[in-house]
Amino acid sequence: MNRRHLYSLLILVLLQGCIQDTGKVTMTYEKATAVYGDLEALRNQELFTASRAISDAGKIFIGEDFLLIGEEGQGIHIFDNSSPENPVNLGFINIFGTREFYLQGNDLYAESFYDMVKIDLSDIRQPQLIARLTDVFASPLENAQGEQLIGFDFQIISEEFKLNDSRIQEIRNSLNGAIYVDFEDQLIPRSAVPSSFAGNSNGAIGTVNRISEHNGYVYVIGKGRLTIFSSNDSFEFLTHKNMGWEMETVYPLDDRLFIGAQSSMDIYNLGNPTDPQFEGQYWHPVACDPVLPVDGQTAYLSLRSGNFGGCEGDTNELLVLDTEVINGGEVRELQSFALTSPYGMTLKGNTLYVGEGANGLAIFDATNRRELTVIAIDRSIEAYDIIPHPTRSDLLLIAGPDGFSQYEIQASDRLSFLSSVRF
Amino acid sequence: MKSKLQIFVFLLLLVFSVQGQENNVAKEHVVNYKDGSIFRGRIIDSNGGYLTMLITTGDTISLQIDQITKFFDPSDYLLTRKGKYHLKSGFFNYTSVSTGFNNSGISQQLQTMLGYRISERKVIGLGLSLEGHDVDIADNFFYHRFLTPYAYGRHYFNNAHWRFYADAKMGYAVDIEPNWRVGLDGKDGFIFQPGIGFKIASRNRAKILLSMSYAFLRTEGSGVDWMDISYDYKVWIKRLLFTIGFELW
Repeated sequence: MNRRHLYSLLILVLLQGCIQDTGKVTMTYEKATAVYGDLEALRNQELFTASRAISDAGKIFIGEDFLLIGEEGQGIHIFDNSSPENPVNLGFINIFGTREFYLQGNDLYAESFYDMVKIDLSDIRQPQLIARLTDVFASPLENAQGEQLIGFDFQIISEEFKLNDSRIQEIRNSLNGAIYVDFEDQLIPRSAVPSSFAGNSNGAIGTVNRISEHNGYVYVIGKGRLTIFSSNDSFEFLTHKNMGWEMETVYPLDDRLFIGAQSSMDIYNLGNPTDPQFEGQYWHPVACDPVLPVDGQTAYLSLRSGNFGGCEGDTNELLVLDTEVINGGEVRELQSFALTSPYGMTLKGNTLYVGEGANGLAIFDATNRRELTVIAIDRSIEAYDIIPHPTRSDLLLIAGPDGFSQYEIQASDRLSFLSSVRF
Repeated sequence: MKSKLQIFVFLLLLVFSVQGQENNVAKEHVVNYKDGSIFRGRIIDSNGGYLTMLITTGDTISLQIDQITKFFDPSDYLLTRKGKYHLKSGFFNYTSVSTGFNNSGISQQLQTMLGYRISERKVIGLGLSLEGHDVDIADNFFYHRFLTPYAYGRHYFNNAHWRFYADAKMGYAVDIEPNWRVGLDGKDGFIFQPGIGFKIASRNRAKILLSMSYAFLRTEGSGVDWMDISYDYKVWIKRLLFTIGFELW
């Protein structure tokens, strides 16, 4: 190889730094536009108004003779369900910005954008606001006109660029630094489950809740922060506690708080209920993960992921975990079952039901809580979450894409359809 | 455009410079003896345990076959120096690894090929390449993996100890990126990869080849980044790759 070769080679290598891939990119993103308005007017709007149609259902609570059905970002519908064949829409509780709520006894707890509210539901025909704790999740942001940020309008934008167009990076930067992202980290995010149960009036708790009440305290999880309220005599904000990241579900049991996060299931000790202490953790691949502790030693964890926002991956399984923490924080896996797309779940007697979304309902024999066996996968039911009926031990309620349905439990633990509430 | 011109100029330089490098490659039979003697000439007869060689002086010599350690027939070998040679015919296996980059990302290839020397200076082959290429979209790197069956051709410019050549491969890149992988759904593509390099003669049938090439890979894909922004793209991946390869047989 002579000198000319070397020079040519050198020039070629140096020029390589200037060569770029070429092509076209269609970039699709959700643009959040801040909406400003009169925050005080929204906070002071009439609490209970005439019934309205359900348009974007969220959380569901099953009472003995009533139903609460969340309307995403706006409030909660109240239905008289004393005649289950014909639920009557009684009215609408206006709670601006709400997506998550929880009912303990007659007390309804709901997040309301910046605020947390407590509403007395002892008379479902006359809900009464007990307290609104303002600005507990974030401080209102104002625009130049003195209006407060009261939400976001979302718009799907699709644009085509050349591969190396600097505008791609500019858009990413603008989205990354947007107010919306900042607020997402502080406010209570939307659930990753399309439709789910907050609980029932017999004490059953949903497995995909972000709000839960336990022994006089209300626990609310944001993305990385637990907010604690007292709920006994007076409803008061107590504290924020930073506890990790990408938290999704909270479930209290005995003196422990079980938190499902995207990369772990965390256990906190509630010896001091206002300052939960980390006790143990089970790490798992990134997944959406409802957790159902069933006793002091065992918890069920469903991991769901796929090609969708927030829970990308290939982990779809049900895990049985030994929650007796060892080695200073380790939670052992006892069993795992490959599933297709597990969402919420419930334990009814000795049977565990796991919603598989569009892929059906998985049914397990949980007679031995720590050694499950598969009974069946029922592909005929589209189940996102399941909860027992509060008074009828032979009924199970299943949240689907268009409402929820009631099923009768057969002797074989299989389900037969009874009725449905569509919305 | 500037880079394409540079490649062209480089290739021209290479071609013209190697034309004069036809050194004294043996055109005769070469026989190595156990005692280290080397005989050059033309074998004109074989009789019992002896070969008869016509040497340059016009004389003939007899060579004992049981004393011969190596025998090079000019129709099969290009003998260069110190007993090192290139093969001129037959099948061979070529295995190589490549890595490269540009401003947009990196690429890797692991290739194996069954080649055939169709003439003294021309080689063809069929191979399989396991390869990975980044696609960079505003600092989001979508890593595509392919299994690429390809056809290959090589032309040598000289018959010297260092044999310079130009080569090219063309193949269909089959996407093997599992769809579950974080935020990426890749598609198949096709690749054209011209290059230049040299092969070094050796005393055995294993040869080392060093080369550089440009990979032009057309593919498409879609991906989602951590901000939930989705990208659908059709791209030409263009990478300068440096390759070390081994030819056997």
